[in-house]
Amino acid sequence: MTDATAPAGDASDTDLMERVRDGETERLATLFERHHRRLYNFFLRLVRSRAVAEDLVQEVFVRILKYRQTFRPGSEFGPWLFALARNAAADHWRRAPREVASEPEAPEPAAELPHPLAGLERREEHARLAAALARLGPERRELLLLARSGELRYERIGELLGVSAGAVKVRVHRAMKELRAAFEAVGEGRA
Amino acid sequence: MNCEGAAELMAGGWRGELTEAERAALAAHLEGCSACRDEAAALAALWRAVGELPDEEPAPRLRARFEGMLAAELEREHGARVIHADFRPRRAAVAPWVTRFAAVAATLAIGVLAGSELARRRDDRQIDELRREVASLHETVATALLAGGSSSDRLAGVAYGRGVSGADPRVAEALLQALLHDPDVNVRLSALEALRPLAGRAAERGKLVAALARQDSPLVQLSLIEVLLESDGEAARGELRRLLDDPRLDPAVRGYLRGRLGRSA
Repeated sequence: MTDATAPAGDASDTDLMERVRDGETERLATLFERHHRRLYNFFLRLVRSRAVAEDLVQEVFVRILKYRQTFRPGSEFGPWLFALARNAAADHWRRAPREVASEPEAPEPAAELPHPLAGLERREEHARLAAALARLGPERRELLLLARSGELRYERIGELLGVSAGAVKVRVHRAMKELRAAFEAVGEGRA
Repeated sequence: MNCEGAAELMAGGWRGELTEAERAALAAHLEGCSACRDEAAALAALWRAVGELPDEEPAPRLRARFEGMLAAELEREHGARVIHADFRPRRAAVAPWVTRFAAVAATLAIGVLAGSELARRRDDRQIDELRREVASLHETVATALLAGGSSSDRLAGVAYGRGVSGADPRVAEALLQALLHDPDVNVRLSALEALRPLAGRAAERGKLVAALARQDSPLVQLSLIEVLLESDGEAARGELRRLLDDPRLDPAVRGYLRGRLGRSA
């Protein structure tokens, strides 16, 4: 039993989500504060559109409310959140199955770096890497981003995908090999 | 260990999820396999680089949209209530609209109330005019907000129109248009909630069934099915059954609808 008057700042994500499920809907605001930025960047790298990434973050929080009763007591919030995020992304791909082969949106100004040249090189490297990521198929890209985010252990990703942790590692390795090839192709200016 | 086994361990190593024994086994394999050794070095560097991609700060409108959605949900659940310390909307994008019109509406309402005392003695016609003005103003606020440029404005319009949708056909029509055409699924869901009291009427029910076939969001479609079945199960079931043959219907939604019709039959 949780204290409805307790501040939410120190509460765990699981505790907050259980409160949301049990009727303290306003506690969702704290979960939004904690997770919206990470979710936004996950979606942004996945779909390469700020507007769509924003829509998907909003959609995830709508689904949290919609499906709050399915959050089981004591379960981890992170895997549940990313399961909703994957479903939202899957619905997006279903609505827009053919990804627009456009250049990614211009990145926001990067944080200032110590040396101008180093900053330029680094920004170019980031742009090249982002372009290489964009060349991966949506499923590979999503798997790689999920694995790299560090939010979920391989076992949890396996549960989401319905495969073993070993199979996830093999797929992540393949995705990384594909990314390496794409990274080199972008660097050489190949289509 | 073969190269595929090494690949699995490499992926584990990038995440720091290797046991001592696995680490030793991978090192032994790399010692004897130059292809895997080169690959391990290149991929580990790339893995680090992906992790160093800078995060972007989302635009402030993302927070405004979330706050609008949460406010609409709280209002739907409880109406006016004390909001927890967790939720303090930082910006009220629609405040100028709502405040301005609400102030005028309040003034007119006070006029109506004060006039009711006079009405007994003097001018009934004047009171009726005031009442019409209040109703018209309410409609104006709701429809203006529903046509607004931001999702937050439109969500506020839905909330404002909720109370008068039954009495005012123009507000009901604006809500229906929002359900049909709004690009934001949250606005569509809120509009549906506002239309829920009307779903039992035959004319509105037909429009909601038509809206179901045109939706591209399964979430809205499932909500529409629930609203229709709850409002007037027997009449709605017939129309929903016909919808099962509509090729535009999402297969998952069709399966859900078939199940709901089966259960409620």
